[in-house]
Amino acid sequence: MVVLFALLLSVLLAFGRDIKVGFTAVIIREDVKTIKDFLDYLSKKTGFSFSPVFARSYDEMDFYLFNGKVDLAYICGAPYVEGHKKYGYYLVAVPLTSDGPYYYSYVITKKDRSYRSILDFEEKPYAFSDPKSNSGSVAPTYFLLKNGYFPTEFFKPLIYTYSHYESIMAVYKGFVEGASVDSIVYEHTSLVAPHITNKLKVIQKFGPFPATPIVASKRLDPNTVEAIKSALLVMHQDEEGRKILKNMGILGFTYLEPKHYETIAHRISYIKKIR
Amino acid sequence: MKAFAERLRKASIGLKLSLTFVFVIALCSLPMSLLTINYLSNKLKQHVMNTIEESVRSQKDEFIELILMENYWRAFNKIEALSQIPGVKEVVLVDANNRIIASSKPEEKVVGRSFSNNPDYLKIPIESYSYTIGYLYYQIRREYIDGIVSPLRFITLAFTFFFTLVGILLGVFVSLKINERLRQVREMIEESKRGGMPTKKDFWERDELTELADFVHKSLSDLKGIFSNLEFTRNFYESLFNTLQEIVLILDEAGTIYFCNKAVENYGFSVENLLRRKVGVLLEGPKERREVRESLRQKRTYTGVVKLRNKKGEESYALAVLVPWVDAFIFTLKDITELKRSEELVKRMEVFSLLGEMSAYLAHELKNATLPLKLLSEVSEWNEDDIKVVRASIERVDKIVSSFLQFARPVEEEKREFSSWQLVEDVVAFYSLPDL
Repeated sequence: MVVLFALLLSVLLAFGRDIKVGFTAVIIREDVKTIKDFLDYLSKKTGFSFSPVFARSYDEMDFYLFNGKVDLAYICGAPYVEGHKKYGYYLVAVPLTSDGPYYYSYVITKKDRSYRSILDFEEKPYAFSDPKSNSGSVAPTYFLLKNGYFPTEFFKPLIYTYSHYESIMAVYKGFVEGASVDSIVYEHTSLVAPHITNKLKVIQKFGPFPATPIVASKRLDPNTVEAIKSALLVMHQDEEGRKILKNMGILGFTYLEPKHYETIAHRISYIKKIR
Repeated sequence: MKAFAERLRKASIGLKLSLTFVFVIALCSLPMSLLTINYLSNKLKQHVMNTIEESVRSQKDEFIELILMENYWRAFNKIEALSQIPGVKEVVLVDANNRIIASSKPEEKVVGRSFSNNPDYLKIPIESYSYTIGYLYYQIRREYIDGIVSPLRFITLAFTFFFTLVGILLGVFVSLKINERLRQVREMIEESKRGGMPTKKDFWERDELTELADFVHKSLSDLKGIFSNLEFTRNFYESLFNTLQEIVLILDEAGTIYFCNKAVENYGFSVENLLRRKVGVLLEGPKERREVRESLRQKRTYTGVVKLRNKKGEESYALAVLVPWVDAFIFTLKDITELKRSEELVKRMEVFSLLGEMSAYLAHELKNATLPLKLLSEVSEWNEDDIKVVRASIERVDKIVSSFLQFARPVEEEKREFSSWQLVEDVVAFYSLPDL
């Protein structure tokens, strides 16, 4: 009886307030309509009310998740690894791509450039998205370190855009010669703004890595988390959900055990050790 | 240049008007338009500069942060946004070491490289607590300003060309109208010159030229009347002068004859020959000529008897009177030849009368002196007394003859010393004044 009452209370409390969903560099933040459609869809499927919160960096999103300003967040694998360890994030769902629940770190440049590897960008301006991003920082840093280079010294200069999409734009506009970006974001960009990616090319891939997860703060009620997770996992099964997923550049959501992210954790610890 | 000025001076009023219009348009309209365009161009440039400077000033803190934090990508977004300001060609943000933080042309001015400045760039320092931590360089897009100004320039030139054309056409039109009216005014004057009464011209325009035409017509009509009166007066006085027997001349200060009546023809001169000649041509004597000349020079009246030249070969005398009149002189010569002749005749008659008297006296004296001789001639023998008487008679005749001889002989002056006392004594003795 008590358990039933507690469950009812938690559901009522969840219905009583907005669930704040944080968005980071793993999605094109400028595509507000898609984000709104996604949240509306979730709201319709779960009955909860959702509102978006945008953060410039993963650090900022960590802070929001930690202090409760954000309940649910779409973040990168690397921050999840650290956040899971430090703040106890729940892994809610992982996006599905054509490669399954995995994604890559792309090294991109302009089509008219002759670079063939990230190692060719020595002394060139190069963009990382966020220091905590797996595809936009950890993966290429790991590769460079393995090849005996420190990114901050290898590139002249190394530029952080704090967004994969911004990194793509930095290459497109010629501000940097190359960038390391999330493959999901790149593919999504090629879908919504093909005129940009038409001028670019992928010259190197790192991965596959477990895809950028949707995580929940440990403050969020597990039942609510479960409801949202259920909605996400079946999203690809209805027309409306598929349409939104397409706009997000993914095929659907699935669940991965946290152990899948150990490959990223390994890279993070290697980098920390070298530094 | 002088030849051009001369040609311009002689140019028709139409050409002058057209040139004036064109000159005014070219000198005022075109430079003013170009000045305005230049002003507008500078204003636009200033506006672009102000926009950038205001933008940088308003985002100063953000720029400071971008430079200090080396936030290249955000800096690039800022710079790119600034470069979108109309009229801005390029924007570059550099740090204090002139290293490029961001550039609106990132492929030319690569981030992290050293920026090579040139005078085409305008510079705004980014200061943090009075310390310059970087600069924002930018270039104005000349094409933007030209793009805005060019249509204006084209319109201005087109308008100037149009107005110049209108000016020329207007000048030609106005000049044709003026010329037509001037031609009619000239026609009026020519008509008047030919002696006719000028016909009044009516113009549609009621301006100064019409007033001038009316004035010319009125003046010509008035002049016609005045000339008629003058002609009448001239004829009257000419006839009057020509009826006079005495010569009447009008002279100027130099003695040139400007008018003479027909009385000169009495002396063999013609009026036409005398006009414009000096008055001296009429006077025979150099002394009179000199005196008349002197009187002319001193502008004073002269009166005298002068001997005239007479082409008929006759001797003529005239009473000459020279009177100054306004700026000229009236010179009259009244013939006194007859008077002069009568005077000589009278003189001659007086001489004859005197001779008669003298002859009578001489006859009487000679008769008285020769009477004793006549009486004694009848006496056979003369005594002493008779001889004395004869002698006395002969001496008396001799005295009478000597006296006449003395009278006939011209007096010769003889200067000699004499005693005035002796003269007195002789006079006393002559009159036998013993008591004295």
